[in-house]
Amino acid sequence: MIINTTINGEKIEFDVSPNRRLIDFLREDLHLTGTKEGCSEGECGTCTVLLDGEAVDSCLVMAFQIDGKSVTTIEATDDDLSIIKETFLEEGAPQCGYCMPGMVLSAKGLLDKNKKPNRDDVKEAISGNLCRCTGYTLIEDAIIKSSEKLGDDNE
Amino acid sequence: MKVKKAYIAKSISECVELLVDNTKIIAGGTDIIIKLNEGHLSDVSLVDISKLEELRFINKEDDVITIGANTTYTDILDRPDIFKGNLEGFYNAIKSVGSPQIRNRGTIGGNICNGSPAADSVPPLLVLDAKLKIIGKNGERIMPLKDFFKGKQEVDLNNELLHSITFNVPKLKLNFYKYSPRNALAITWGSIASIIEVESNIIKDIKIASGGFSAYCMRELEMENALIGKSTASIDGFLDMASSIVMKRIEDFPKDFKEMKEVTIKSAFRHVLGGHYDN
Repeated sequence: MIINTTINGEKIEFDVSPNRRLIDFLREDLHLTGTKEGCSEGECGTCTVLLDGEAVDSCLVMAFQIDGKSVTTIEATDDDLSIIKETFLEEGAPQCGYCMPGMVLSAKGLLDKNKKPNRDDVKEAISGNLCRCTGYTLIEDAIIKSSEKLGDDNE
Repeated sequence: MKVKKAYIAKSISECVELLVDNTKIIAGGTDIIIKLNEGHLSDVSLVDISKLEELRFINKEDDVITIGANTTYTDILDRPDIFKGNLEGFYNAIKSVGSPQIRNRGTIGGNICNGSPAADSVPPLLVLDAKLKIIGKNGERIMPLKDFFKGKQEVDLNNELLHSITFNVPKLKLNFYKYSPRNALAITWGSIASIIEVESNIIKDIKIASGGFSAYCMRELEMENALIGKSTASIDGFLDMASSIVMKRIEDFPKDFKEMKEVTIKSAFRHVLGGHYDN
């Protein structure tokens, strides 16, 4: 079925199978392989993307449901997302890195709505993203640091 | 995954026309996509209602609240002005669902229609005596939520659409407790919702609903009837009675499962009702 959607700012029209989940559409049809699949049942948050600005698990959305909507993945190159990615690296947040695309998108979803999150807000925002390497502390630090940098940019 | 065809409904009436045997409604998709992906559901056509904004609303008139079936958990959490106070137990139940990603996508109608015994929003709605408005090809009907569940993941829908859920703001505080291994991303081991009215240490009225202790979420009428008129001097006798009612229900299950449920029900009741008892 034909859908019209916006992926990372680019409008596209695509003939998508009714069997495709959003994650398969991104990875298999569009070759955007930055979004990773973990548990396939909404338990790990690895496949998190933004759908109309809100964090969702892309394994739990059907591709045809994004008709008329916009999706942001880790491949997006807008300034805010780039600052968050750089800050994650500076703070040493990633270890194996597999959860990072989802973590960064959950961080972006939070920072778009809440410019000055406290640590509890950050913990809540990434409560749907599992990381089995780190103790989350450096990830939280990176998100708080990102909010400070983004705040500086806006001033 | 075997989806034969998918339709994106543009209106309620179009949706109802599309519902025939072997069609399934998809809203947030957070339950049905797992079933499709794992092969528990196949050869179905999907009717997508996620774009029906007319089903996405929260109305409050006087003390009557109506929530459209397409309202997400996040939509509800964004309205503490409506859902705090005596409804805080309902708010907390909604907050305990899944993760931010699930709450951004999942809907209250989906939580009810999925018919899971572990549905977090349902026990609070049961003690609120919530009513459902259901739309089919022959018009609409209103039914009490407590009669909606027929078995595990079996609900009283016959090619029909859940439109909305209505209930009154309670005069007393609704309490809710979910016993689960973690704060986030945790399916319930068991949950209890209750509204209790105590006067001079005697239980004048009580409403109790449970999740995770039967094939579906249910009102615990046997427990309610046993408690009305009783003193609140000690909770221990009640906890034994409540757990024996649940144990009878699950007597054919493995021993460790029963032990887990016994701990769960006693702990959940202590959290929900303990404050009303002397000890």
